[in-house]
Order: sequence, then C-alpha cells, then structure tokens
Amino acid sequence: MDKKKKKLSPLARFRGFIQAGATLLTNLHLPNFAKGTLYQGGGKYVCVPGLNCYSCPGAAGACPVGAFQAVVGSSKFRFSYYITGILILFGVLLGRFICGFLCPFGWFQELLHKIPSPKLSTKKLKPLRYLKYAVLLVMVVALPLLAVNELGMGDPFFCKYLCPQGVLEGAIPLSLTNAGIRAALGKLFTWKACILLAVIVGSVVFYRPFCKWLCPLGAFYALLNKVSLFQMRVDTHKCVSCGACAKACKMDVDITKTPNHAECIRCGMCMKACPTDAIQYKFGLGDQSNTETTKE
Amino acid sequence: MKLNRVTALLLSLVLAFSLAACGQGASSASSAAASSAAAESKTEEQLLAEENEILSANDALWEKVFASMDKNVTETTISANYGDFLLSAVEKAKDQFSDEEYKALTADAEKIRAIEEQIAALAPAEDAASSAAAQGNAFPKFEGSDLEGNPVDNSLFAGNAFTVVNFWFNGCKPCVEELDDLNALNEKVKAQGGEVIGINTETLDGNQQGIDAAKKLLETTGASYRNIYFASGSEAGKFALNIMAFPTTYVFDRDGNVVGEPLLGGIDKEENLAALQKNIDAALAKDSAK
Repeated sequence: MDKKKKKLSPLARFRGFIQAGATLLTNLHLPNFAKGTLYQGGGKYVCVPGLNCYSCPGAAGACPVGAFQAVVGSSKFRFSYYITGILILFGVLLGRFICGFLCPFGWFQELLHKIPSPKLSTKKLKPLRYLKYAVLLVMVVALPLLAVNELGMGDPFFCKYLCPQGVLEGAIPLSLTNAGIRAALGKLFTWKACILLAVIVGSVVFYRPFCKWLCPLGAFYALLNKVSLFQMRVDTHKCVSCGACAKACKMDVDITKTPNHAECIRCGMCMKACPTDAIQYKFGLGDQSNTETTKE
Repeated sequence: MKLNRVTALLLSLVLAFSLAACGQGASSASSAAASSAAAESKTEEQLLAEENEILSANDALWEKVFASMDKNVTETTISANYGDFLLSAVEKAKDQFSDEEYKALTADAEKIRAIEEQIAALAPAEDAASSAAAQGNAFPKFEGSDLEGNPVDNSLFAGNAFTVVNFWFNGCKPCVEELDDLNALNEKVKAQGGEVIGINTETLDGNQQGIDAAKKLLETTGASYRNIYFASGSEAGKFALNIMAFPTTYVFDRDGNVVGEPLLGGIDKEENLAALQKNIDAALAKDSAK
C-alpha cells in the first residue's frame, strides 16, 4: 500500500486540492460576493478553461461556452474564431484533464457525491453520453446562430435555458445581495433552479451526471481528448489484466482498452486502483499510449 | 475517507454562509446616512433663521443699508462670507448713521459672520452626502450630447416632471427588443411632462462605430426618443458602466434623484412595464406635491 502511494503521480494524489485551487483562481474576486457586483475588467476578455459563469460575482474570466454563444448570437458575427481557438488550444493541451482537475462545476458535483447515500452506477446509462454532443450542437451552436430575430440577434440558449452553473454562481449570489436582480427573477429562474436541484440530487447519487450527459464544454474537450497532449499510458508489460482499473473508473471507461477514451477525465482513480502501477500520465507529442490491445 | 467527508461538509457550509451572509447591510447603512444628513440640514436651517432674526431686530436700519448697496452684486461678493459682505456695506454707508446705529449694525454683521462660519463648517459634510447621492440616489453631474451632436446636461431633468432613463447596448437582444416599447412610452408620457432618454454604453465618449450602430437599431425599431452619451471617465460614465444587467431602466425626478428601484429587464414584458409604471406614478405624485 505504502509503496504504491509513493509512486502515484502527485497530480492524482492532490487532485482535490488542485480542484479547490482552480475554483478559487477562477473566482478570485471574492469581495464581489458581498457587494453583489461583477468584476468587469480586462480578465473578462479571456476565457477560463472550465464551466464557470461570467455572471458569478467572483469570476475572473469569461465562460467559454457563454462567450461562444454571445458572439455567435450577435448580429455582427456568424462564428467566433477567437473563442473556438482558445477552446481548441485548451483541448489540445489538456483535453478532459480540465474536467477532472480545473472545472469548478465538476468539483462541485464531486463534493456532492461525497455526501453519504446509496450510490448508483451509470454503466447502463451510457447512451445518455451522446446527449451532450447534441447540447453542444443544438443549444450552443445552432440555435444561437439560427433562431434570430429580424435584427439577426440570437439568444444564448444553453445559458438561458439549461446551464445550472449560471443559477448556482450567477443568479443565486447576485439575487441575495442585489434587490434589482431579485425583483427580476421569474419563471426562467424557477425552471433553471429546478435543473440545478435535479443536478444536485443527481450528483449525490451518480458520479458527475452533468459532465457525463449534458455539459457542452465537456463534449468539446471529449472530441479533442484523443489528440490532446495530456494522455494516459498503460504499460502492457506491467498490466496483469486484473480489471481493477475498469472497476474503479467512475466515468465507465476501460482504460486498458481505450486509454484516451472521450469520457476519461484523467482523474487517476484507475492509477490508484492498479496493483502493478501500470497506468501513468504522459504529456507530450505523439501517441503515448503503449498498449498492444489496439481495437480490432 | 472520513477526512474527505468532513472537508466536503465544511466547504458546503462555507459556501452556504458566504451566499447568505450579506442580505441587508447596505440598506441600513444608507438609511443611517439619510437621517444624519437630515439632522445637519436642520441645523443649517436653524442657523439661517438666527441670521434673519438678527437682521429683523434692526429692520429699519438694515433697510437703509440694503438700499445703499451697489446693485451689481458680483460672484465674488456672493461667494464671500455674507457677514463680511454686510460689514463692507455698512462701512460704505457709514455717514448715513449715528455712531450708536453704526455700532449696532457692525455688531449684527459680526454675529452673522460668526454664524456664516458655522454654516461653512457644515458644508463639507453636505458635500459628502451629495457624493453618496451620486453613488445611487441621484444621477451624477454630466455634460454630454445626444446622438445628433446637440449638447445635453443635467438640466434635462429639471425640464421634465420625470425622466425615464434606459441603459442599453447594441449587442443586447432584450434591450433592442424593447426599443419600440420605449418609444411608445415616450409618446405616452410626453403629455404628463415626462420623457424617455436612452443611454447606450457603446456610444460613450462619442464612439462613432457605436453611435452608427445604435442609430441604425433605433431607426429600424422606429424609436425616435433622445439617446445621449457622455465621457466614460466622468461620474455619469462610471454610473453607466457600473450597471451590470441590461436593460436597466431608472426613473428620475425633476431634481435628478432616483425614484423607486431601477427596473431590470425589458418593458416589452407586461409585469416589467407595470413595475416601471409604478415608479413613474411615484415620480408624478412627488412632482405634483411640490
């Protein structure tokens, strides 16, 4: 046991602290929570890697998904090259490592999952994974682009109708301190508060349900997970095919078969479970996965 | 595992507290400021009343002094201490009075000078109050222009029984969608002595691109009410840029003070229009009570 812990990557060992640190850095303007105001400085021209609402009083940067919709939905632009570029950069550098380590909403769901309760497996719900690609295509790209008024302006459909992070970080803290915003809360808030509640309850029972099934940002990074510089590597000479990794994986991935699966958030639980230390993080160019078991 | 659970619990507690901690604070502070300001203005009134008493005690003599005064009162004499002003006037008209009368007049003037000094000491506190007003209760002083280039300043408030000020920007869909409703509102409130004013944050500093885009939007939505801009670095500019939810619509009274709570959201929604109408009614009632 001790021997194994020494070999475990510090990234995986201190993941909780990294998540906490990333959440704090993403929402650095803490006094704004008391003031009920937003930071509106230069930092908001840049996107943070994780799903973190622009309208969170503490937010240091913009949400990539929100910013993308805002630009695509405006009458001036049809497509946002700037934000897509940032997203591709994040995706190629880190892939879904961002989900596992840097995303505040991912961390939020994980903390909720620590609440003692009967835990349910999501293995049988795998088809729901594809829902998030539909959310990305329809709510983030298509509807803001196409469902426009006569002046060519669209709505940020994902932010407006689905995103629970917006309610958690934006609507709730702002309405607590800002009477004007409190007065403006309506049906839309009720609807999205219900979604947030569902995600919260779901997160206690399931592991990261929003990441698995709904998050458009996760979907985008998932597409780049295979080509990202941050990869998992399984040493086939060490692997004893015991299956402990697949059992430990809460994202329902069998890492020995597909080390760079779109759903792998690089959390490192398989590394902790592996009795022979066969699984490692690798960062660099080229295919780092050293597995013989290429799929047929 | 236990440690994990404890940390999770602690963190969720911290989250809950940080969200819930800050509800009231602001309102109680502002009401305290208002009451102290009221106390100060009362004492200033009392002091002025004292001055008037002093003057009315020797009414006949002072009438003579006032009659002898130079009618061309310049700004420097007004801004100087009123007591000094009276003293110099008495000095000039000295030969019209007996020694006794002259002494009584100078004594009065001295007293008034002392009171004036007290009032002057109050002034900084009053300034502080007015700057507090600039943070939320009154529209800050500004000099700007409308989108056609005609100069506009704070006097626009005095010209209207109430002024509805709508803050918007070009890329804001709900803002643009209420422009025609705001125009209809402007036509409606004209009869009541009111006016709708638009402030587009993209036109601040006379930004030509922003102005062109705003004009186009106003034109296509058929909105013809005045839209104005000013320097973004001015107090009014800060007021506009501190707004974080668009559209936001304020109602100001004749003195440029905010009436009611600002409305967030477009008045193309019925409940929002009703909320705005409440503020307008309050402003009208206030104005007719004067």
